Amino acid sequence: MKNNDKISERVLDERIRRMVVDDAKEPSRNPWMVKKVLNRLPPHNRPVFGIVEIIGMLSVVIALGVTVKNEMVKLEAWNGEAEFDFSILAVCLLSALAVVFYAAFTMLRKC
Amino acid sequence: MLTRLQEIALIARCVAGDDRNAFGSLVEAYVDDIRRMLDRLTGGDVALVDDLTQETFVKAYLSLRSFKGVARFRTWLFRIAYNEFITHVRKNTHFVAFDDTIHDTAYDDSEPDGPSVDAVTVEEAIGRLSPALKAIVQLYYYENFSVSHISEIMQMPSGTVKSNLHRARVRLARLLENKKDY
Repeated sequence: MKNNDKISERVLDERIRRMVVDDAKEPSRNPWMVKKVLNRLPPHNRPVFGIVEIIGMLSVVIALGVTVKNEMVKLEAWNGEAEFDFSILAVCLLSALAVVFYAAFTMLRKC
Repeated sequence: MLTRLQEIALIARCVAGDDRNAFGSLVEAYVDDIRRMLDRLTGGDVALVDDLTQETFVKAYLSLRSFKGVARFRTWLFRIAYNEFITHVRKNTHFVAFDDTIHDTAYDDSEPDGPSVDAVTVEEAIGRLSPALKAIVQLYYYENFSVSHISEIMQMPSGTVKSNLHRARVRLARLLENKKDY
């Protein structure tokens, strides 16, 4: 009796397997799926990005600090002769540096 | 499909160096398999399949460090995909509530299968099974997983997988008895 049950189970299994194979249909492929998955992943977690971010933020802070100092000096020299203030040049250079760092940082994180 | 060595090499590159290209290769190797299973489980809802597939791989990426390598990566991925599907079923009111008591209790054979139909296709017949039986049929017949692998994926004992597989076969046989070539 047990053998008969095993045989009928096997026969059932084979029949269903045959029908499944005959009827198998693949869903439509999505060629963008790999890219979509990678875009959903969180940003890279590498130590170098932390360093780049700190340098970038420091550059912005220094640029802001120099700008404020420059404006204060201008206020003090309001009644006298105005002197050429090299800090304006420093502000421009530091701001450019900050922008470059952030651009590099953003590009590297996306790689 | 990737060999075990290739899988391990790619996973090592992902974990050690956060190599997105390596993870992209893993996604490419298994995305069709995952989509195929989710397509059958969700009844062909393309948007839902894409969403669940993406969630599966994102979860896999975030849990890569916990992958011990005992099971094959493909088995582990299918487990995540199945869990994502279960989570969706439980949240979504459009689906019949996933009854995971079917894992342990006797299958109710007295439930009628509906009015007798002329010829039900295999897909329609599988579509009429409960989510658990549908998943077992999909994993066993379409993805060719063994009972022990299905047991790992669905987190149920092998004995329960076998008995549910038997119930699914009996149910399918009854639904398909009007098919000419059966």
